[in-house]
Amino acid sequence: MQSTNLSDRILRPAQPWFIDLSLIVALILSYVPVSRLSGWPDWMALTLCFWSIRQPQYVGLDKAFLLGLLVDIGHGVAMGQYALAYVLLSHMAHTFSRRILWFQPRQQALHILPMLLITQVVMTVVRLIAGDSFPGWTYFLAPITGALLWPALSLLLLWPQYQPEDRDDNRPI
Amino acid sequence: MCYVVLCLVMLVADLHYRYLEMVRHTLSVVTYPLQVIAAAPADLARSASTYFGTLVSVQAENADLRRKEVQQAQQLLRFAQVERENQELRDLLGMAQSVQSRSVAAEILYDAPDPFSRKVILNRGASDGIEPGFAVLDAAGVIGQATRAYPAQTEVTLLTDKDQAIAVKVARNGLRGVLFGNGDGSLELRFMPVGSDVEAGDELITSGLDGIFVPNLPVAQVTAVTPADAFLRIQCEPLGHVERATQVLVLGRAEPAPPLPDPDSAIEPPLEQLVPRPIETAAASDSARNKDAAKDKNKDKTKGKDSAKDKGKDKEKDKDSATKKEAEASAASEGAQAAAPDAAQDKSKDKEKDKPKDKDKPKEKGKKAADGKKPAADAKKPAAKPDADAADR
Repeated sequence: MQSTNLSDRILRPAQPWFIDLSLIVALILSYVPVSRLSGWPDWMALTLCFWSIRQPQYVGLDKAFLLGLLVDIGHGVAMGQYALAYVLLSHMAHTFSRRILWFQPRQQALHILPMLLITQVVMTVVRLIAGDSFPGWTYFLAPITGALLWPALSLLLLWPQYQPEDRDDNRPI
Repeated sequence: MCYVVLCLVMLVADLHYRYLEMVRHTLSVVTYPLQVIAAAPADLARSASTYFGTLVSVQAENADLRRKEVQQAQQLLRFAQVERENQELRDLLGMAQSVQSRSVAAEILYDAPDPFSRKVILNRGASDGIEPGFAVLDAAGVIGQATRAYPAQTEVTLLTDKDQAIAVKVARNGLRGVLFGNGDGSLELRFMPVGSDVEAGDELITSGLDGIFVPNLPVAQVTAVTPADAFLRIQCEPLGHVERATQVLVLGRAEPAPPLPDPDSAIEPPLEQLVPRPIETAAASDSARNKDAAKDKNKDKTKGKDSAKDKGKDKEKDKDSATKKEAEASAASEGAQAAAPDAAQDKSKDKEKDKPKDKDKPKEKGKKAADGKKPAADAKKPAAKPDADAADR
């Protein structure tokens, strides 16, 4: 018997303006000065990963690259560090989107975790090559909190698509 | 794939060659409003904590500040006078003026959220006159250096950032060195040979030799000195509140430091230095440098040479006199006599100024009279040379 998955609900089409808005909000969240609070999730990576899985036609590598550059500038790091990481993340998300969509959000989180970890590792390698010091293992807490937040984030970002076309309180389904 | 290559190219171009500053500045205009929005909650929290801070602590702080103000008021009153006096003395000696600085008061918006480095963002930028390289300090000392100036913001690399270097000297004895950040919050004075006169408790101040920082700003204090293999291992602690400051002053040179001398003109062949009359060779090299000066100065130059020859003789005499103390007085009188006519030939105006001084000076130290006379007479020439050279370039 084929496993049922919760994401087979018939969704309304995603609105481009909502995707853009969510990406901008994520960008702002990534700028929030948390003074190197370890475990603060990379909102930009999470949101980008989500839309790369859900809407690969709309959120492609170009958007990942541009948003990565904006994060680079906001964080005052070398141009291309986040851009490289996000381009790789987006590419991985495109590759595995067919597989990931079969699973429930909680199981999806287990797929997201290694992808986020790889982006962190890429950034660490870039910075170590550039001559910076290793920031400590707490740096890798961020992908874990990100993965934990994945189910809630999925619910939030799919909320507009869950809304029925026309609300009918008397409809049986 | 092409994006990955593009990213790698950008990384190399930015990290190694700093080619992308223009792109960065342009895009920062886009990110700035978003950063302000993102920083708003932190600002709100800070202002709320200030607002709800207890009256007692504010009163205590107020009393403390008033006490400091009274202490510093008299220093400030004397400062203007001392500075004027210093300027006059420097004019008198013909020395270059002390470094003029300009400053911008700024506030730290937030820590850059990059865990690999220690940077902060200020709320003032290039539009307020901040340039990369300016020193950033709080009330106690230097905390960092402005490394990127965006139109409305400045990125400051803190002293504690890994391998962030600053040229310093020991305040006690003027020993120069370079202070590096370790990346873990501490500082280290590197490459000081074993036997250097550095002790725990010494204060380090900026030397200004880098041509970037304003000299004599307090930077750090030595906490521990332990001998390693060839160099001392000198641990230091910053004097400023590097990681905690909120109000800062951005301080830079009002005009750029003079360019480094051309290495070709600076190096003298070592053989010439061994010639028994060093002053003459110096004068010759001076005249060589002056080759392209105006023709009407040629007379002065020849006179200058003559005077240099005389001076060389004087110097020899002085050398002898150094060995024979009893002959000092006679050499002194000769030196003074020899120098005075030269000065008279050189510039009549100078003669007017300088003669009375010589008369005032007793002949107790012939050396000083002879040597001190010469720089006074030639004082204007060396000062004029760099200008002439600069004009030629």
